[in-house]
Amino acid sequence: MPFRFNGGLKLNGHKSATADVPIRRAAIPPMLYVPLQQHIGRRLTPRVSTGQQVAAGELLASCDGYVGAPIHAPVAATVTGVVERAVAARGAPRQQCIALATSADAAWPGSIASEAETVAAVPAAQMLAAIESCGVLGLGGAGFPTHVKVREGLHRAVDTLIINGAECEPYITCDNRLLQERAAEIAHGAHMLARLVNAHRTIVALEEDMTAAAAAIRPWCEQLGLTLEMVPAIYPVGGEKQLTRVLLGREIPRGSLPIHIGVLVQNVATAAAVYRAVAHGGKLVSRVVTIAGDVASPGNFDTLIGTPVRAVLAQAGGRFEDDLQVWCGGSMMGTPLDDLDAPVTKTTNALLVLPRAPARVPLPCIRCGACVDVCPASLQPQALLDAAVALESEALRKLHLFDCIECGCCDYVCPSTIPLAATYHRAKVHLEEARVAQLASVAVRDRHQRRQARLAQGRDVLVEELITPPAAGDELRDALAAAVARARQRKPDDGAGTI
Amino acid sequence: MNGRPLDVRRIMLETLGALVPGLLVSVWCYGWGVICQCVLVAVVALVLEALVLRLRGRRGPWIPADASVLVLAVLLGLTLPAYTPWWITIIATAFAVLIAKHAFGGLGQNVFNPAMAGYALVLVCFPAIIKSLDGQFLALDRPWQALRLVLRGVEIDTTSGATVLDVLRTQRMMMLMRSEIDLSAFGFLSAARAQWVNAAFLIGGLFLVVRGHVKWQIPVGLLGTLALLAGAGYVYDSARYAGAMLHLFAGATMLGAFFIATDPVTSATTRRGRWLFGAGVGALIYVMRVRGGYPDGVAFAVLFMNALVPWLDNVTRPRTYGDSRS
Repeated sequence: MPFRFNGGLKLNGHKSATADVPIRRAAIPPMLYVPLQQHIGRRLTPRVSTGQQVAAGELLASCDGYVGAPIHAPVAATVTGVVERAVAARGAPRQQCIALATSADAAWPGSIASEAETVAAVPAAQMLAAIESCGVLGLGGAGFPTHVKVREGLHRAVDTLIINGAECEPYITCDNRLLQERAAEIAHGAHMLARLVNAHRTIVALEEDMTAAAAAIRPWCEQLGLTLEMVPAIYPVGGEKQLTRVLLGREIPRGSLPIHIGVLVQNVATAAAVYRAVAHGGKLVSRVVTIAGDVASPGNFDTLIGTPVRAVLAQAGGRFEDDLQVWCGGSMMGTPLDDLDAPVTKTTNALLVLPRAPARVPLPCIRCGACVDVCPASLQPQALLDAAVALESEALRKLHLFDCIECGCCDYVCPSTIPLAATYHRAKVHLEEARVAQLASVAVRDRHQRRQARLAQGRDVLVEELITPPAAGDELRDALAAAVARARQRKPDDGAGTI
Repeated sequence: MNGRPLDVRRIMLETLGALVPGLLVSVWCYGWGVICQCVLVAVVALVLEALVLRLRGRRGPWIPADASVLVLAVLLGLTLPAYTPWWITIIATAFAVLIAKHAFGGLGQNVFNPAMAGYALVLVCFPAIIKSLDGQFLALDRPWQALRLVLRGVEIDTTSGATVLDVLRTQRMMMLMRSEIDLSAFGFLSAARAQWVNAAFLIGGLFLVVRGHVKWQIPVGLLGTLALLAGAGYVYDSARYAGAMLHLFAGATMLGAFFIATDPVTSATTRRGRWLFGAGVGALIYVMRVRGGYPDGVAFAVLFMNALVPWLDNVTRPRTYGDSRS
């Protein structure tokens, strides 16, 4: 590989326990809880009512806005209501979930032929519609709706499509297994995406130690004209920014998306989901989840979205004891999950069961610079720490806090065992809240000032202003004028201030 | 970047281990007084550290878990002349622990290297005593003889045990040519014992570099600059300026390069910053040795560069991923 990124870590992958075990199907649980927000973007609006019978693949909720991906009933079930509960996603946020009581005769969605021979050329618009209506989103962890990402790619010249199979997080092997067992689907999905955005070339990127996966996908890459690249197994090479740098030698500028430099990155599981959606109209109602760590039978489980974590763990022979902690995600970026009734979402890639570590009291930072050497974003973690603890927003911005990808390399090497990434995350949340509060207060002030001005100028000016909004067309203006006139007739003495 | 992560305690303990060869050679070259100083500093420093931590409301064991105070103690003990009177040692230790370390916020927060700050204080306050004692070798058979000297004070003829740096300074002040000074006396175990001490610290220092506790840029920058300047001076006027080898193996060069300038808390953290920091210390050591009036320049050079660290870190901040400036 000609390029490399700064820092990073060579980690023990802990993957051997699960990488060679075939994917198993998790059983259908009696209750499914399908979260209404599994993606980045707007929360979905439910399209079913309590007591309604839904068939497998039936729409449960869809999005009113641009950024959102619909959700579907994984199997035939009865809607029992909407409940709020923690979900198995980063940070275990509480979400509204549609509760489904699965029917006794519910069956797993029909399997799709893995040996996808030739797929008839599907028009682009139809492909995009299928991706959107099947609820496909980024299965690598971020959960960005795929049709939105692709649509952005339609407006801009896409030079390179990267299919990301560089699964760098320790313990996680769901993409590895998928590559070994469903290489055809992934390759066809990649090919479809490439045609959709007119990519000049498509690179399937795997870590260099994923030899079995590479062997499985290589014939398909050759057949479909995809480039297979093996990247060094240095954590976090699978990060979008790091992978782009390693493969192309190009960096994604601050505040930009890969698409701005002509790059579209999609996870291998997403490519497989695209194939299923386009070729078979298969809704995204299940995903492969790695169950690893201290369980009797670790491995990868094809799991229905909405399955409670407890049910999946039980099938892997998990113990539910106090000395164990369940983590959502890998050992580097995973977050603790305390509520085992939390449902699996479209972005749950791994559930890790590890012994509870004794609480370590962090020592003071001795500025040893170990974090500086490993930071893949080339930040100054030790300087950021001081600023993050003191919440100095100016200093934090100067030190590029928002370029931190929270990969946890600094935590891993810190000799004082300081929880650096978590501290940066808190500082980010704080700055973001402050920014939103600032915007809101500015908006309130502006509104108040405009109102004061209106009051000062009198009622006629107010009416004038209302019936001539800056961008309003004639129709709207007429309608507004009529409405104002009606209101005036009804309440002749009401003050302008209440409008 | 590879391997098992370390913790602060382990780093400090391995640093102490790396000091052992230099410490042993120092005892062999300067006598039992070296041990007396280290023990005296360590005892006073531990007591003060424990008291200050209590006063600052820190709970925990009476002996601080991070062992950093022991590193401070050995470094200060090695820096002070072997037969420094006890009260001067206590003043230096108290200043190092109370002012240089804890008044700035304790471990990790101090701007100046505490050991060097303590040494610099007594060097400035009691220059005559320190200068007269620097590099003295007393062949005492028993440790307690040395202890008695430290406790009672000692009168020493200032020329008998002068270091090679002292001789060079005296020669410069007397406007003598270097060729007029008999340097042949500075052979093995006469007055140039410093070269063996330096060699021992070099070995310990290399161990720390291999273990990754010391970032190699600082010692390389320091020794490289010192050698370069000394070499240039020697080429310019070999009659007046000593060569690179002498400067590298005289005084506290190796101790400074590997153990003092590399103190993580008070040195630069960026890669380019470490280079500049090391080079700055090296250059200042040379300038103070050829122009200054003190036994050596290491302490003041390190302290001066300590003060520049925040600025160095700021101007050498590396390009962040995705940043357009190159």
